[in-house]
Amino acid sequence: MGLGLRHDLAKELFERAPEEVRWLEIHPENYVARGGGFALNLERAMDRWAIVPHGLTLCFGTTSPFDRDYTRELKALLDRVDAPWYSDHLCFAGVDGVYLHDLLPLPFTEESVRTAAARVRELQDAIERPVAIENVSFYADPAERGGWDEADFLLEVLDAADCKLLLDVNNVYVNSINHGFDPKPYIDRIPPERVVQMHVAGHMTRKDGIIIDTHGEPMCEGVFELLEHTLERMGPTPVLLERDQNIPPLDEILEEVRRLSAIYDRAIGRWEARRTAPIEERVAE
Amino acid sequence: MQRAFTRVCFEREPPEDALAMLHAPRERWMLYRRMVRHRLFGMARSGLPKTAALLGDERFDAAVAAYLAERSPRTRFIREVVHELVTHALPGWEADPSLPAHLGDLVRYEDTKWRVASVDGEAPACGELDFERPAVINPTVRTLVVRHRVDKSAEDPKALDEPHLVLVYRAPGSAKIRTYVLNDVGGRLFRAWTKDQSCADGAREVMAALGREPDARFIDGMAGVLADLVEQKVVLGSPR
Repeated sequence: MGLGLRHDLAKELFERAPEEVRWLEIHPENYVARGGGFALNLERAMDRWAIVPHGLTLCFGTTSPFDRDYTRELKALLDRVDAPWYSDHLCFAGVDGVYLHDLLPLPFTEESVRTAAARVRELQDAIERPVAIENVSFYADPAERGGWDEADFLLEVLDAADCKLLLDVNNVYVNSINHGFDPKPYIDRIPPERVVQMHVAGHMTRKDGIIIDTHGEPMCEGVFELLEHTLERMGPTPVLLERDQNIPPLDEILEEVRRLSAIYDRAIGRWEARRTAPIEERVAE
Repeated sequence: MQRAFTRVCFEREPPEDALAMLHAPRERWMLYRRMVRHRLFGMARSGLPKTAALLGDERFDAAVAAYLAERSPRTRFIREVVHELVTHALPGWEADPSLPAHLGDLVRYEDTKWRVASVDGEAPACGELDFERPAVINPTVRTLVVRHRVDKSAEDPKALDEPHLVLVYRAPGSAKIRTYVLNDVGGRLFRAWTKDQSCADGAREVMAALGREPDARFIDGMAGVLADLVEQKVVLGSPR
């Protein structure tokens, strides 16, 4: 189980170094070419935890070329923290040099697949390590334009880019409610060998029933349940609890982490049992 | 589609022609507009809290809206949106006679503090300060000239008889922002000491510019400033 390295939590996290937290995720944009408190926090974090980077602005649906200065600085940071992979989002985040500072949905089309796949490959070459794409939550459904559904699109990009997946289980859940589909068949279509990391988080439900992926609330039962289903299918995979807003006391977060750990152990136990079961049972299943 | 979406988010009113190009129900795109703008307005307020309070919500928000519509964020680092906003809005604020005279100083001071919090710069290894050698200046130091003590009060700062030089910086190994204010002569000395010359030559340069002799008062004052700058970790020493 991992947590995001958040400025608001860092001091207490470093002082207590809770054993429930096995690794930390950082957003490279907060650390590249930056000194001060963020740099000091990263140094302290590296003393104790493995660091996994997760980007916010190299989104693979963005059509502008990469800024080579930034990818060079990013690689230097990834080398410094010995990052096993780099992940960013399957969405767009700006156009023509303008940044929206949010994760915006792509149309699920062949053109988007080509754009994303080319970008992933280019980035993999530039940073010399695997790239994982993350499925995003979306509120306006580009598929209404006549493209694929989200799972089709995700699988097409994974194949075309031959890359890894950061599977955000909360985003699958949020999209399933907002767009009315069953999340488990979506999860079941994903090849386990692609998945290198998972995200879970809390979200906010509006009065009109739309769920907003805020990372600012405790996780809901539906996401706990979907995570268990996902882990049982995918096998051992690092899971990160995202909490970026309304950050509660660390103890509250650790309580959630402990519950996630229990779910993880249970699901992986079943995955192990299935893996080692006689072939006849696996076929029957 | 991406350009249409960007216009929906950043123009003062979401343009109908751009909305028409997007497929999903209008209210869903408007939801994105609110989320994008909420984050950026929040970032602007985080970086310039006293400016926002002095201007009032309506004026501050209008400036952010104008920045989004006329310039839009050009940086991948969301923290730098604050400086982009200042660059865009400050000329208009300073030209507006209805706004307090110290607003410009306050905006520059808050913007400098915000940037210094993140500025990258390792303190170089150096030895003890030698007056006959150059000074090593803390690489995080950023300066601004003010005519009001906005570091003391954002609402009603004292007006100064002469421009003062404000140094904003972090001590090596610390995240805390420090401010050090120098009067006109102190500011001239500091600037001279940032050049590639010995501290002594820097002092001579300032004396020549001021037409002053190296009298005891000047030398005592200068020595006091330099000692204080060393103690406050603005001057880190001399090169090894």
